[in-house]
Amino acid sequence: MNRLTSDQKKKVTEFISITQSTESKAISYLKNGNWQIENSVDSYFSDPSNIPQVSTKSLESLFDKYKDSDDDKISGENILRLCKDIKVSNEIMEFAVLWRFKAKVLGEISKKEFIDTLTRMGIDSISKLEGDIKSLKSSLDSNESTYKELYIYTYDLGKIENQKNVSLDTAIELWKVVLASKFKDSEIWFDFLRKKHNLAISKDCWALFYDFVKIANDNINNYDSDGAWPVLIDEFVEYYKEQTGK
Amino acid sequence: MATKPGTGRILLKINHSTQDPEFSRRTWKLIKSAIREIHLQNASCLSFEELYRNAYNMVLHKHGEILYNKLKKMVDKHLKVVAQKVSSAVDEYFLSELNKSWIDHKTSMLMIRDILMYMDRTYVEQNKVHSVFELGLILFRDNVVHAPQIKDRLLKTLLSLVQKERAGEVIDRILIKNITQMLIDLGVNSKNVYIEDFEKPLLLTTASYYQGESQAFITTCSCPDYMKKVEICLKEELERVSHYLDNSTESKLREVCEKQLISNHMRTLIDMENSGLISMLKEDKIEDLKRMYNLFNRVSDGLNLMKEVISTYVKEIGKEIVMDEEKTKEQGTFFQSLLDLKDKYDHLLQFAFYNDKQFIHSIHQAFEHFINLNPKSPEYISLFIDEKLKKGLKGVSEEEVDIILDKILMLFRFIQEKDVFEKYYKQHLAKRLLLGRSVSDDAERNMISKLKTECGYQFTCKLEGMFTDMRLSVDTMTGFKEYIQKLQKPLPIDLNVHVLTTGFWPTQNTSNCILPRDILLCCETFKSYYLSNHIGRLLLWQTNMGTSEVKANFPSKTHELQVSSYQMVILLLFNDSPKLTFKEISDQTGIPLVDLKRNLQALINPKNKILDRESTNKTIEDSDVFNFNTKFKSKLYRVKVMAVVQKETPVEAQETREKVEEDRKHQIEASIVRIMKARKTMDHSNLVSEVLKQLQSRFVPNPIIVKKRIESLIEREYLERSKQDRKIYNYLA
Repeated sequence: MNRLTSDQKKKVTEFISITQSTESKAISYLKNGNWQIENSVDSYFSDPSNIPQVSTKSLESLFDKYKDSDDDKISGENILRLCKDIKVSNEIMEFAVLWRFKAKVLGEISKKEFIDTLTRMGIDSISKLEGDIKSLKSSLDSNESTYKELYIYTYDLGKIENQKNVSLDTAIELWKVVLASKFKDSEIWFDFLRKKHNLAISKDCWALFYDFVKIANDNINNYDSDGAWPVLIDEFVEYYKEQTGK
Repeated sequence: MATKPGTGRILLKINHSTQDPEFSRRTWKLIKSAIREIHLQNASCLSFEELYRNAYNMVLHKHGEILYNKLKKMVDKHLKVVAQKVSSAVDEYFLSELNKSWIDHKTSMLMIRDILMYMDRTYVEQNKVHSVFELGLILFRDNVVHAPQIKDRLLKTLLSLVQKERAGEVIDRILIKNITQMLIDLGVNSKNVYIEDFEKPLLLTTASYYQGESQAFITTCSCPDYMKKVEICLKEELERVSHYLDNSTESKLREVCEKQLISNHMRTLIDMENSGLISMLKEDKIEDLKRMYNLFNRVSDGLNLMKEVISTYVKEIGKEIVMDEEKTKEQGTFFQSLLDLKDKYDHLLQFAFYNDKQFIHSIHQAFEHFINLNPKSPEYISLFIDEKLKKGLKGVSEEEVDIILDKILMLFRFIQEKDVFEKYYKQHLAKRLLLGRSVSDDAERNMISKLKTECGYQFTCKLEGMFTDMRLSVDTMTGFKEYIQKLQKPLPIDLNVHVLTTGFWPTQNTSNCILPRDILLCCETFKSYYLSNHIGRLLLWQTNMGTSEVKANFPSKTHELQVSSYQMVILLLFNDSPKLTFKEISDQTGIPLVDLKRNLQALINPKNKILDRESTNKTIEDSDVFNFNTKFKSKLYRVKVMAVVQKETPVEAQETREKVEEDRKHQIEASIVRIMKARKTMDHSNLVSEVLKQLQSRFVPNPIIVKKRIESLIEREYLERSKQDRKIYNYLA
């Protein structure tokens, strides 16, 4: 551990807090994963021997504690209850929880998603889950690429079954959660979409808008209109410059 | 001589006596008096052999320096006297006096050089000083030509002579030639003296002379006259060089003249009212244009300027033609005037501009620019061809047809939206083929093959399919006739069917009308015949495209009416009732309203008034009542009634446009997929430019639309963006 840089040491601590593994294991996985926390954690968990055996039974009883009375899933009030118990109180983190469970539907965790995820992670108690989500939060705060993954995941939550694209209204609601803190002029973007576009948002556009925000926040005049951006964003840039007088 | 061993021995003998200074003084005295004689032109009495030997001895005994300096001093002194003499000459004889003393000096120096040849060979070479002759030149330059009382006078005299010649006087060219040659000689291996003493001032005065002249010309002359004057001036200056100036002056003098006469006035000349470039173009002044091209070609940027002005002018003229409401109404004249314009400029290019590539290019660009200004140009070209192929080529020989088609094609090349043209061409061709309006099948095929060479197989394959359909239909009808005969059940009417392949022909809304029973029977018979031969095909009737011949019994006479199928259906209604309202006709025929109105218009047309309408409104109203016109009269037995040919209505134009846009989407996507399939991964800008390149023979896609198509393909998962760089696309198999 002494031969590591301070950055690497931080990562080792983070790795251990997520995986509850030993220090030597943490270092070896991180080394193999090129010091990328996400990849290393993934490969750690993909090895079944690393995961503490959790009894399905205890997970089922945990699930029963939160499940909807009329269906085999956790949704609505029950999700909020679960979130409250693991000390999650803002909307972004609620999305993060859904992301952790790889939930397919907005505001719903199916039994299978619940059990599979916890088994995979070796988590069998609320307190352990709380710890896991906490480390996820710190990773989201510190790591731009992790946040982008969550951002892109959010798009799929907005899709209604069999739909290819997310409707404009849903997209705007989602953006309000995941983008509001990142883009100060998001209201201009929403106005533009309602006035000039008024059509569903494609995944490509959703994903690239995240990258665009960085340019817009920095200096919109650096925007390269030949930079293969979606036409919608090209058009927005014109509108944005008009509106902000830049 | 010095190397001859014999003389060498003799010289060695007198070696001792030559050492003393007295010897050199004595010897120099001899040489000196000889030179004096030479200067007095009395050389005939001198013995060169003796003098040479004396000089030789002096040099040999290390008195070279004394000899050289004494000579220099002596010539120097002599030339001072010469200068005095020259400068005292009156103006009239000044130049000839100078020339004479120059010639004398040269002769003297040549003689002196011969005497002192040994010094030239040894002393001069060893001490790297000027040879005797060169020394003479330098001394002459410094003492005579550069003498203060001569130098300026010489220049002034020379320049005033040139000036006199420019003004038309005759001058002694040979004398000037001698003097300029002298200046060149005096430069000793370089032309510095000539350049400094004469050429530079000459160029300066030339510049200021022509500056004044050109200023005077340009205010008094028209552009062509000015150019003629310039040509003469340039020619004269060139002659001047050949007569009495050095060849090296030619390019410099020309440059000065061209600058003053042409470069400085280009813009004024081009813009000259009533005689400038534009009016020369207007009035086809081939000779003047050619003159301008030649003159402007001499100076830098001249042709560029000319080219720009011509191109702007052509654009303007062309724009007037294509945007002229009046002219565009008459497609015939519209295109004829474009063709005339093209002819005119081809002619100018060939005869005035030497087919200059840049000129051709810029004129073509101008044509391309204005033809595409009007979005209807592709339609008009097709209409023009339609007109030609329908009647315009009657009685015209095959070669002439070819020439006309080639000309049309030339304009076609300028069209950017070739796909729009194809749409219209297809529509017009379909009408020609189905209504049998085409004058010549050969001309039709000729046009197709021309389009094929121009745009490739893809462009014409459907058009060719239309011809194939027509040919097969003839066979089918022969077969059908035999089939009817075998059936032994003659049909009530003659039916002639064209079987058209879907996709080859312009798509029509299959809005069918209600056919009379007899005709329906015929159609069914044909259908069963056709489907028995071609299993698995679907036949749809396109009644809107057909024609019919109807026998009509008017009280006065029986006529055969040639009408469209729709008109036939309408007319047959009047067999049962002599009077029908618009509404009744519409209900009983089921013909779409727009078509119905169009066909009724034709039937009530005063020219062939087959139906009578109880109203005189311009447009047909629902409440109108129609009667069979019993008073119909015509000299002809066969009466042709054609549907009112209407120009494409705005709605139809809009539809065609939408169809084109839709087609383009597919073509752009196909092109993107084709490229990506081959490349697998490619960055955005390369992909877009590649797509533009692939499609430019058909149309010029808007890059934004290309981008949208890429996005759509990403959405449909044919492509994806690279995870590392959003500008790079990957092909998803």
